Amino acid sequence: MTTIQKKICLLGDFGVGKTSLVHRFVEGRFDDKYLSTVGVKISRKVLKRSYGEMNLLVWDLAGGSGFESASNTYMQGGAGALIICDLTRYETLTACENYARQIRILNPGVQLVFLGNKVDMTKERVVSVSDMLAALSVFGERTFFLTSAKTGERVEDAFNHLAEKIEKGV
Amino acid sequence: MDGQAFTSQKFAARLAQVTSEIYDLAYAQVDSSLSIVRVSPNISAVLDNADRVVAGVPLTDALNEFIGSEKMLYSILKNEQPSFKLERINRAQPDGSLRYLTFHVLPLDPDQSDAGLLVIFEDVTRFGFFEQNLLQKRNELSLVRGALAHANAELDKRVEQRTAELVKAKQQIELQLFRLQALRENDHAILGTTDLHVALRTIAQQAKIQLRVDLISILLFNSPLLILETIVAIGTQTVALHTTQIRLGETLIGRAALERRMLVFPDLTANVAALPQADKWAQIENLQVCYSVPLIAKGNIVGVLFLGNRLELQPDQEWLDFLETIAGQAAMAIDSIKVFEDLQRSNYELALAYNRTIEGWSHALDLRDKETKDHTSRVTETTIMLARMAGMTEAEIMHVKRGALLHDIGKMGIPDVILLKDDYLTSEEWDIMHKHPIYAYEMLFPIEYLRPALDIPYCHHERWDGTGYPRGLKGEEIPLAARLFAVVDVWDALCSDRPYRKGWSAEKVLDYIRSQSGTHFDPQVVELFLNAVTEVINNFED
Repeated sequence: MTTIQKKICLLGDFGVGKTSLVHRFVEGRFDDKYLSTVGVKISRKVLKRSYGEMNLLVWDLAGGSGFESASNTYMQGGAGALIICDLTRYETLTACENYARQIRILNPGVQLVFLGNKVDMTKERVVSVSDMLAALSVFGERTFFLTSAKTGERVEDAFNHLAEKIEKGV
Repeated sequence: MDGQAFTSQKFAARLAQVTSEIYDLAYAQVDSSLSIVRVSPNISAVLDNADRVVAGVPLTDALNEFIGSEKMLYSILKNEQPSFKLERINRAQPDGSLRYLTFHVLPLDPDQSDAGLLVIFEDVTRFGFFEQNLLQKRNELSLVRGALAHANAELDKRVEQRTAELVKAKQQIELQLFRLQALRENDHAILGTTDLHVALRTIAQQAKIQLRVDLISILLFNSPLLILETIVAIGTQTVALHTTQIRLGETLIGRAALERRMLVFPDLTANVAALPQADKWAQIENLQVCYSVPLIAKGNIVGVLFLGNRLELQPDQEWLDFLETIAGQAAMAIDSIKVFEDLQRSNYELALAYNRTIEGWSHALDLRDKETKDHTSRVTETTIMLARMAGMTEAEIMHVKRGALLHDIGKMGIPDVILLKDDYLTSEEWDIMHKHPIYAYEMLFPIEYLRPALDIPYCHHERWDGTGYPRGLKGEEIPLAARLFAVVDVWDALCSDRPYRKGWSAEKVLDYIRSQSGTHFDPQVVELFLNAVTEVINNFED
């Protein structure tokens, strides 16, 4: 059985729900309480693949504010990244572009998947699908996921999609 | 033991021990293949998984945090990078608490490549919690600020929207008010005049102002000829529309009348070549947009309201509604004024018929009474003349005329043996004779249109001093018409020849009339009569 180990980073402004997404993905739980992450928290999730297993090391990085850059050392060696925005805060979509650009500079081959999180908060939503498409088109991407760490909606899909992209190297 | 005996190696070991204790540090030596060579004795105090961090284990296996950083580690090993640091690594403890660690990676010998690495593990939990606390507050504050800004922006947006809505509503209300005022003015024009041209001009003017178009025209339908004729046109630049004969069913206007629906021609300039000859006037007027609205009253076409504009129009529903309302008013004006004109004509014809009937009766009376030739017409004309001088209105004078013509109609009730008796009348016969004003009253009162004319037939034998008949009225109790007529009747009777005497001279009659002032006649009427005497005499002689 083949086992590969890959580091992926979760990037996005503070409060977009990175830690909650990791909790949902790794532990299958959700906590409404907001707790800011300082530094980085590394979790592990083993994905079953056709060839064996993918040992996914999930780096949950402290979220920045606006255009603050995340620490480069955390991003080094990342094979993929989930770039996350909060659908109820438009400015977090704008910041996505910076995070994506930053990690691409450090890791030119890094695979990116864009997420619009908190899709369950329909009344508060301000980011539209066309807004998302416009933002990710800069990076030649056309796929994004509207997720909810609270309900679990499409969280697994997003991580799996990133894993597939890493495997295919596209 | 003196200081010389304490070797550098011992000093270094002691220093490392003390520093580790003070600063919660542990360390590991890593060889050039990135495997752990040795660890500090206190490693378990800093790392929760110290059991895996032992000699011989690859660094990345012992510490997952280094996975992905191999390239960086090798570059430090080769002295290509001075150091590498992973700060504030969160590690969950078995009790659920968090421990914050920082990993420093340095070359073991900065002067020698591939000598190995020194990895220092620092427990920064105290600072980590402090930083987390600060960051938590900052982020929460930012979230609240963001939410507040969002709420404010939303509020501003709503205020802006509401303001815009209010401004728009105000404009619409003002516009509706102006249009209502215009409609009211039209109503006044329709109600206040019987002149169709005046009413339609007012409507056209209001329509031009309120609908903001260049040209307004109202055309009347001539049903016998099946043509539409311009009665009002405002804003024309030429006489083309006025001189164009518009047949029903032809032209932009005639089609609307025939089809009985509003026709809109949004862009005439685009179809100039296709315009029929009969519509060339629209091209001459440089019209781009036209609206033809049929004017329908009580189901009948009565005309067409035509609007033209020399620039593009973008009407909204309210504009169209107002246009329809104006068209309705124009149709109503045409219909009501035509009805009025028809009614007025009927009234004239009826009044004429009444007058001719009365004149016929009067003539018949003269013939029966063997009255002097034209007596009735003379006294009638003279009484009318005096009535005008006395300031009576034309409506009152009409009744004076009828009353004068029928002044002796009561004599119809007097037997011929009395009325035509050649000899003196007996006292009983006079009693009967004196009843003729009462007969007149009884005959005329039931006829409604003659009731206002009763004053003369009923009261012309009353006397100013109250000695007259039939009721013995006195002074101004006697209606003015009867007081006027009494003088004229006596004047005409005395001036006329009778079988039993010659007519008196004018001077003698005037003397007589003066003598009767205040007894038989109203002194003011006598004065009026004397002032008009020249004309009275001319009238008599004619």
